[in-house]
Amino acid sequence: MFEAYNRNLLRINLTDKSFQVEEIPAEVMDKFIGGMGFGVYYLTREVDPAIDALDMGNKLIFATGPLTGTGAPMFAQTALVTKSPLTNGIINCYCGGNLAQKLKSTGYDLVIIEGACSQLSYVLVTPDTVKFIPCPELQGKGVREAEEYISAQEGEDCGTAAIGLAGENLVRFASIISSTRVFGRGGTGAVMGSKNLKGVAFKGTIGVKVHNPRVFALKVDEAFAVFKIATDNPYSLLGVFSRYGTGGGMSLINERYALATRNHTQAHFATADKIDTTAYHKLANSRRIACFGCPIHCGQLHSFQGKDGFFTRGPEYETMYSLGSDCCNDDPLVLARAHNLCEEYGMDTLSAGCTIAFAMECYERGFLSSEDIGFSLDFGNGEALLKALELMARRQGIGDLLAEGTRIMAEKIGRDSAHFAMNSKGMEFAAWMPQRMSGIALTFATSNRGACHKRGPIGQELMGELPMESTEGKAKIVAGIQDKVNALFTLVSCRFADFELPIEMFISLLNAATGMNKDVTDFLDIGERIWNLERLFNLAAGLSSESDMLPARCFEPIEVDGELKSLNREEFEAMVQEYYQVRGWDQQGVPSSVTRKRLGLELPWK
Amino acid sequence: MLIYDSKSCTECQACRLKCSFVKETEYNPAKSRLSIKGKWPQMPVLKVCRQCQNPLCVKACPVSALSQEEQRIISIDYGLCSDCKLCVQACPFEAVQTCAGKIYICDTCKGEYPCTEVCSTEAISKKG
Amino acid sequence: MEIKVCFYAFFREYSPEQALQVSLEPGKDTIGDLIQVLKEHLGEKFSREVASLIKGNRELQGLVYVGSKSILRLDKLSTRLKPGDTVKFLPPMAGG
Repeated sequence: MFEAYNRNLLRINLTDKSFQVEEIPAEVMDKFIGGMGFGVYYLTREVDPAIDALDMGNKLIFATGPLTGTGAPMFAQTALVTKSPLTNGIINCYCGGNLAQKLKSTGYDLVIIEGACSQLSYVLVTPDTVKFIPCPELQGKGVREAEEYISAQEGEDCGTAAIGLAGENLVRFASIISSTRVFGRGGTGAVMGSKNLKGVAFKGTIGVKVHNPRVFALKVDEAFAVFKIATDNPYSLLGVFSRYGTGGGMSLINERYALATRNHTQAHFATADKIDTTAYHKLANSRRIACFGCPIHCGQLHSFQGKDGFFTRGPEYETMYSLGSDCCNDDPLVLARAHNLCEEYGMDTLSAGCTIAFAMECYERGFLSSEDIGFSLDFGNGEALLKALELMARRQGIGDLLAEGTRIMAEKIGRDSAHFAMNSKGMEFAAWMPQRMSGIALTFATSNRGACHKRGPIGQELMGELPMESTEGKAKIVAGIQDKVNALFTLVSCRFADFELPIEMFISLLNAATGMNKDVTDFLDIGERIWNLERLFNLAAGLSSESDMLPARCFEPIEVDGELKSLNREEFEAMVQEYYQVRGWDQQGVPSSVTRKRLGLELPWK
Repeated sequence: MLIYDSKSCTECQACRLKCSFVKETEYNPAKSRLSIKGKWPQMPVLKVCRQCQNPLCVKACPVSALSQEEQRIISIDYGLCSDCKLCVQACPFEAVQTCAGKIYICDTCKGEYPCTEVCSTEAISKKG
Repeated sequence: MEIKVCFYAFFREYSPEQALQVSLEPGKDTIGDLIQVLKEHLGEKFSREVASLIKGNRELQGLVYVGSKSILRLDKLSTRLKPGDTVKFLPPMAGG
């Protein structure tokens, strides 16, 4: 049993420059599976929820799952769990590419990083040892330079991940980047920066065996067949992703008046088509790049030629909102450069863009002056957008304020600017509008990591299978999606696999790989267990039911094709209460003792 | 014969996973007979045995562990191989893979090339 | 009668102009009829990738809108058009 696991975790102490290998108990593999499950289990046991996220006591947990490194398609993600400096709560974050298999090839299922380095360093993990290597020459260097440096020192066959200047400067939404993919949201890069850790490298050759090779191989073939049918259809969602990436088109969202524009004051961006992927195909040499083992290859690499040439992997659809419509930027070159800056500095494009949009509105309203900023930060001003990103990463001038994110900016600026600081729990909104989609409103307000779009009924609401505006029945649907996505993130599945693969297939793959005998109920229960454990941690960290809220702008009317529509505050609050009931929580959103017992949850920090 | 179209290759490595699973019942790119060298944004390169007419790997082997059989396929006698890696260095196509003390050379899987079955873009395909 | 046809995102690859004015003959005013007219007007690529696929491809039908409703929620290829209607070819919802 458990053949697909290494069955060991690696604990690295940066302060002592020591490490230790520990067995993962069978019960933990059985009840938490892997990936997000392992990360949440260990973090909630070991980190005091009350500490500051940039305190040495915080930990970074990189976790793979049982299907990582196998031939099953779309299990390339590494999960990262830590306490977020943006939300002060627990965060789970994912990065595709090739890192997960490289980590697992060193003989560990997860790596827990503790303490802090005394000087800027990177860490190398091999099956035999862990090395702590000072790298003062990488101070202030971009992500690409850092990763290339580490590969040059340790070998091209390393999997690497690094922070840029934003992480070193503790920008609250700094990211960690691994080649063409990113641990984007929640400031994990700042946590790494607070540990003086410039990069991590994994170098190993250990493979993955499975419990039942014959059955596993059959299930893998079936999964590939499902994805082939999807990608053969150029009009299916995965068909579009495989040809154009996630930026295949914003027009449908625009038609539904659900494309957040001008800091969420509008739901329609007239020139959205100017910044979708087809625009990049005309401007750059483009090619597709896949994550490990994936047949969808949604990654788009664009190389811009010429004197100021550069190359960038993206932008994704989400960035076409945050650094596009939300800032009223319809210039694809500006957007590509902005995206590239975030790649090099290591910053979350969503939080960065949404924060700049907030600053643009503050400037428009006179809450921030030209003297404060140093230039005209107008909506639609591409040059100003790029300049703001630079200052943000460097924490220079107004950048020092921008680097704090919308929640802290609103606190400092005052004047009720929190009204339009588009975040929930401090996490800036992803590319979806709570004003227009009630399922999104609920999941943004209640997600443990803040305004998380990965756990919403986006497709169903947009395509009309579910009524967009009505709150009826959304509580149960959203809770169900949250649990399901959690369960998938233990394997560790890409979010998109769920668009085509039925849940039974995920479970068959898990069982054939590990010898487990899970059914759908078991699997979803695991997702629910993890959700509740996160919730308990957040409550102890001070995130009460008051944080299950949205900024006031979300309850104001917005123009939809000549009409005014809005999210009704009373209906929203009733929906949240219904959600608590569905989850077996009390009226303050605290998991009841009955629920905790059913899910087998302890409270280690009490 | 294996055909490679680097323009279509997305570097997903599904081919490598299929190879190691078919040959070793293990998912391990390091034991795959194919490797892909990609340094984005440049085009990737596939490294795999081409069944040369005059195989330099066979010539380089000091203990005659390598021989060329029918269809020009290279055969390895693991009993004789001392893992000196001279064949690895000799191959101009970097097609001899090595992992944990063993060398691996593609034997075409009887001309079936199961690796080509999992390629989602036909970057790798078989002919003849 | 006159109607307007708009192409968005990758659908722009089928037409040099993003928006077209199209005349439909009386009695030939369904979406299916429009597709035939567009087939003659736009050439081989549209014919091969849209016109010949649309009958059996539910996903593709879902991307053809009359006003703000997809034809899947109307009468599919038999949906009747009125003078001044705008037909849109939209990409699927993106994102993730």
